[in-house]
Amino acid sequence: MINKTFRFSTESLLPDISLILIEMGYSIPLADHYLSDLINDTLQQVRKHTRVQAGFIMLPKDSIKTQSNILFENRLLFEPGSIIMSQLQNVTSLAVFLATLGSDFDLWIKFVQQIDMLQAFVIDTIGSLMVEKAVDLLEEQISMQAMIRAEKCTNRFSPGYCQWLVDEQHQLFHLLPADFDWVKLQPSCLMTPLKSISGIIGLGKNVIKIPYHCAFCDNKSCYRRLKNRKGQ
Amino acid sequence: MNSRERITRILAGEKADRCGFWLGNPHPDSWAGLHDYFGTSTEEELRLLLKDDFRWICPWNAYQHPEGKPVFDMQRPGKTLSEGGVFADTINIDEVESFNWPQPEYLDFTGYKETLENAGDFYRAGGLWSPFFHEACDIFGMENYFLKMYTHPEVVHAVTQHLIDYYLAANRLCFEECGDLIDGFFFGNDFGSQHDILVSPALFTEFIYPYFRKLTELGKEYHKQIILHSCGSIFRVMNDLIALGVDAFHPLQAKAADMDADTLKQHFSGKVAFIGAIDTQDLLVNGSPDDVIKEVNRIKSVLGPSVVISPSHEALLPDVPPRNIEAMAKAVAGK
Amino acid sequence: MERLLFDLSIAIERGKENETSPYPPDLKGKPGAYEFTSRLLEMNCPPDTILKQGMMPGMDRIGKKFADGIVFIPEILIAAKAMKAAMTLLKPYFDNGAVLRKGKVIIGTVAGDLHDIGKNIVCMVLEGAGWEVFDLGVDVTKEKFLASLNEHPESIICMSALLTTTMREMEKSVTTIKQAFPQTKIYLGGAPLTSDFADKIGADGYFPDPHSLSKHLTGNL
Repeated sequence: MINKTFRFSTESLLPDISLILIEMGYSIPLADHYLSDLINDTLQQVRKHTRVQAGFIMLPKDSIKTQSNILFENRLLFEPGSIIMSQLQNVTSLAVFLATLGSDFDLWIKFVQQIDMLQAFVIDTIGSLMVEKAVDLLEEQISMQAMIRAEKCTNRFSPGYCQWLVDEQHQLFHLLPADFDWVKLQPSCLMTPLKSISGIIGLGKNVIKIPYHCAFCDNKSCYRRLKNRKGQ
Repeated sequence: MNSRERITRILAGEKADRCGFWLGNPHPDSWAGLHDYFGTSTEEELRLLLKDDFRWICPWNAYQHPEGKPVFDMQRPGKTLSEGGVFADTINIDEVESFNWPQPEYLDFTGYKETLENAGDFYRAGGLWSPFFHEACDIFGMENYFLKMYTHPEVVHAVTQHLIDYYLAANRLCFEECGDLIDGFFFGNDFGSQHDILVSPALFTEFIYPYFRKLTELGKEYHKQIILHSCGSIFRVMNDLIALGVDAFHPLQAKAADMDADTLKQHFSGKVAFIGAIDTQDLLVNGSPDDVIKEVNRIKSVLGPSVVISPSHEALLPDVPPRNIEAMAKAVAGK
Repeated sequence: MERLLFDLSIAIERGKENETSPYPPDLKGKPGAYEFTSRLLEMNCPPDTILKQGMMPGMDRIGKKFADGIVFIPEILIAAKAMKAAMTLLKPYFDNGAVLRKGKVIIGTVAGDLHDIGKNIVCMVLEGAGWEVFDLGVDVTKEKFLASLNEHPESIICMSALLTTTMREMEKSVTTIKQAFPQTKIYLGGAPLTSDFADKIGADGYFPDPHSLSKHLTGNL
């Protein structure tokens, strides 16, 4: 089984100021100077509060079967629902990933919240973008590993999105090796540190990657859907 | 069919009227002897005389720092491969982040564009040379770089990310500015030794491919053919590199392990095009013109038509007799 | 004791330098070449035995894997790093003569050539095989080879070149050295070289990889 961990540099995850503004709901020309300055100041401080940890495992080839659910070594592993399952056709293995910005980042948000709610919002936004970016980098690594196994990758999916029940975080964390100890799963399925992402990517010789699209899913209040609308 | 169309078709795996030819990029010390033998006075004159189809036009001078700093100020005390640069002893990514990385805004491609506009009907291989693997070797020292892949992978990733970020930004600016004046994105990294690849396939997968792919994707976005230069034996990773978007390999170091024309044909024929293959480690240096003609004809029959005949190392050294270069060029056009 | 010697050889082969070194991940926090060597010395294991039955088998195995294309340059480098850590503990015994090396090797990349990676790996493998290596670096003139040979006249000479243009320099160096020291063995390495070339210029042999050179040198003792 492939087991890889990474400590991506903070710098490689830092988002553009324009991306932060869009994520916060502004279109770029409308941004006032005060906000831009605040974002720039905040970006200067990110490195002090961030300790990125990320990694993934790849389950053995042909250990996964998919029909209406995901079976691992012929036992039920995940029931992600029909939306995700429609994307996991022909999957024969899974990459399971985990990424976090570390607990200092949470403490930073908490601390700033008591002083300046706007800056806390900025930090929160930056954190969300950074941890997504860390998963982008993991996805690149996973796709390279898949390539040399002559396999292709699906999109990434996380419990709690696209109708996949968040309870299945427990099964997901069970798959992760003991040295992935930088994120703890609470009984409520909340991950600590908060700025963390877990999820899966399907692998297989005959997998077809469908471009990600919110039409897959009917969740009207999902953050991705809201973001896409704002970005238009 | 002009040279530009010929090479474009060869690299696309389509039919051309003949194999292509590239003289390579003779070492500065070799030019005097070449001009003396051929009676030429400029590089272009010699290329025209030898019916060279290919022009490698690289924006070496596009980065113009106001204080004249180099693109990567590596601070290496010497030139050997193992000599460490500024990150020789770095184990902390903060140090990587605080380095003075290059600023794409200092790039100016106006002179470069002019050169391309005057390049004639020849295939233009261009874009930045973008040797991120080598630059990582230099900035750490090759041995430190390879060791850190094991001991401090996060430092290696951080440095590689910065290198590739610069090359992505710089090539994007270059392609935006020069558009269709460039036919092929020609970039280089020496991944092999005489016997094998330098690092294992697993280290390629983790430390090279993800960054390499960004360069090929950028090239494809601008509709460039992707030409990879790598010295040495890269047989083990050629299939992967093809999957990552390589359209042609250069220079096919003929005497390196599994890089001979027959092996390449057997494994990669129809999947990729070839530029090079005429041995510079023995044949061009020590052989006779007849030997060279025989070998060019053999390579044409084995790898043709998807081959651009060229020395198996572009920097022809002064020990290659010009009569052998003449024989190589003539044999390309002949039957 | 035998178990510890075996563990030392494994630590070197796998590149586990010491307890705090992060690589390999599956040996995190476990003792490395340094700790095994110091334990062996504490148990009064003869330093000569540590070298010959602990370190050398480890370097030999990784060297063979390199020659066979199973591992690559980084794995040799990290094994050599572990070996060096262990060697620092043996240094006093080399100095006082308690451990005898197999012999002396003078090595360098010839004049005009700056390529050193292959040469450096040969140094590491030979040191790991119990030779005392004098590395003259790159761009080494025939005079420098001679000067070093005058200092250590019983040495073997190894020369490296990558460029076809600097192969010629080898010929001059070999001729000069053989004139002054007809008994000295001279071996060549480097990408464009062949055994025929070594014969032609009067050297004693060409080796394509460090392991085959090391085997040959040891076999000639």
